[in-house]
Amino acid sequence: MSESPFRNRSLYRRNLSIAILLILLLALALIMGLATGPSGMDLTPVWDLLSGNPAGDALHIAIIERIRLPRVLMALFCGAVLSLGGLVFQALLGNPLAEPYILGISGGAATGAILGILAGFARIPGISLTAFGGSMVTLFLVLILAKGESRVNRDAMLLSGVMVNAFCSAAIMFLISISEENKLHDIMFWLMGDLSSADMTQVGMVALLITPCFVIIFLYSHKMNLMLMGRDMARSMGVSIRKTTLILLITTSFMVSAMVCQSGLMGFVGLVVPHILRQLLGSDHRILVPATIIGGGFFMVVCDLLARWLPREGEIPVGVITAIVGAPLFILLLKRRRTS
Amino acid sequence: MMADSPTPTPYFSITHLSTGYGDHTVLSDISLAVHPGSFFIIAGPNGTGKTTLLRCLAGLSRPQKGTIQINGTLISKLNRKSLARRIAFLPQSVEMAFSLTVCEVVLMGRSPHLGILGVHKEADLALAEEAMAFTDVLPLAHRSIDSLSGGERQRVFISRAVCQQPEFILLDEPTSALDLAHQVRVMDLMERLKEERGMGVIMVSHDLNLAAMYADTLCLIHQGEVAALGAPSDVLEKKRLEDVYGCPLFVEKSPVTGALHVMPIPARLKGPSG
Repeated sequence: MSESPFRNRSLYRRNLSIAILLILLLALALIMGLATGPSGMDLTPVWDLLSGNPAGDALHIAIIERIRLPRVLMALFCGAVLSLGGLVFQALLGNPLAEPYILGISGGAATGAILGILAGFARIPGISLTAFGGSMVTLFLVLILAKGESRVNRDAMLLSGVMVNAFCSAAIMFLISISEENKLHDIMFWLMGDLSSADMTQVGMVALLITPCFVIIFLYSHKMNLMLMGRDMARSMGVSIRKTTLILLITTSFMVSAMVCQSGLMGFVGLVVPHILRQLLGSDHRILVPATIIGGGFFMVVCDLLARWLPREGEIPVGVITAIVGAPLFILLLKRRRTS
Repeated sequence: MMADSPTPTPYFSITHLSTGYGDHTVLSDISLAVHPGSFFIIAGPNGTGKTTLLRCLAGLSRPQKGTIQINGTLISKLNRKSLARRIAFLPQSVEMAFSLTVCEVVLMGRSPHLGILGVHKEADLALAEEAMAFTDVLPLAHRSIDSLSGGERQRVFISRAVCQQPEFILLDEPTSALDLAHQVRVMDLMERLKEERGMGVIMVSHDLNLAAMYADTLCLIHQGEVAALGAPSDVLEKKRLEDVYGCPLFVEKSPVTGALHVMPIPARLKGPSG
């Protein structure tokens, strides 16, 4: 072992090839997403659109541009945001089970959004803001409920989240029961998680809101690494825990609520993607943050594709697909933690 | 009470420090000094505030009253990062939710010297490698922390602290979970840090025998106050220790090391009067 342990070429090469693979998979999924419609998959118009071929089928190209492209992009953002949200919460709480949906952040955002719908606000900025408000209220509720618990009981936060989530569900049910008929459709949209009604303006708005969040989170990625060593050790290595936690919690809640108000509720995405990527790439958040953005986008685009493709007629809400994949993994992780 | 006092200005100076949780006082009116490059051990019965004192010195807990100065600067005036360049801290137990490799953990020690993303230079890698060689964890370099034994883990965390290049290293009961050989190994490492690199060591320990063999200064804390402070040979007095610990003890000079050794006496050997 005369060679330095830090010059590990094979590890570097492995991570690089995983990164390239992820990007290729994402590109493939995006193209598949654009090419797939109710009438099956057809790559020709996608190619016409990408190459700017003037002789292409104008109607088909328009469908791809106006309907499928915003939907696929929205799925990409949605997967990226929810996965990254999971990654950040897991690092902050030192718990692999933490995730925006499970912690009730998504539920809070949805409650806020429904209140916004009932009040007749516009989707942006009105409903985005009420969704953000809802997520912040649940975040603080969860933090306050979990605060008194000793550090030994790391699941306290999770239990508080479950409780707050249950409360949000009740609030949502109540709001539905008093809603007028014409608003019910809008509300049901939140609850099932649906990307079909996205348009390019919304996609642009979301991109504008979430990109700065990605940058901020990446800047804090090394601090998240240090926080894996526990609060005391992280502080003794120069991390201001309070500031870091506050900035990351607010940034994450903001981006999750900005997303949820466009896409509706989608569970377990933040659990599945970071878990798989951690197995592949290790625990360095400077690698995991960008990988989660790409991997999460890929995961959601594929889930959306399945949602359109699996049923013979119509489509399944994509939230159903993510929950079918995510819930078993959650149980598996919980069991493994109990035994270790 | 100050023994060994031809030394110059102290590194840590604590004046009238008091602290507690709510109404419960943990430390009351503690004043003491720790000199640069010394091996300082804090001992005392359970729940007397040893860990709290160490945490105050590491800047992790804020005293309610009194001040702590590091080289003449108030600890509260130093930000986290500049404090981290001076002091490394090793808590009693480190729980990690996600596993890291030995290399990653050791290299983290460089963070206080690096920018926000922790991007390291060649020199940082060399320092980390050297720190790993010092604590003999190079062969474990790519192992995951989860897969190590208690003694190996402790050496990795010490390696991380060494890599931080602090002026003082603060440890909370680093030997309590280790077997005899590993205890001595950790203590020897601390002694070498002090002798070879002039790094100061402050350690909370329950092991009076190890303290007697390694410490320059032993601070005995009892009920939140300093019961005795000085060279181990002065502090480890049978009568005083029996008062502090509330049990009969046997204190004797070891023929091998020349240090005092303290042994508790089982209740069945006590006289009928106790």
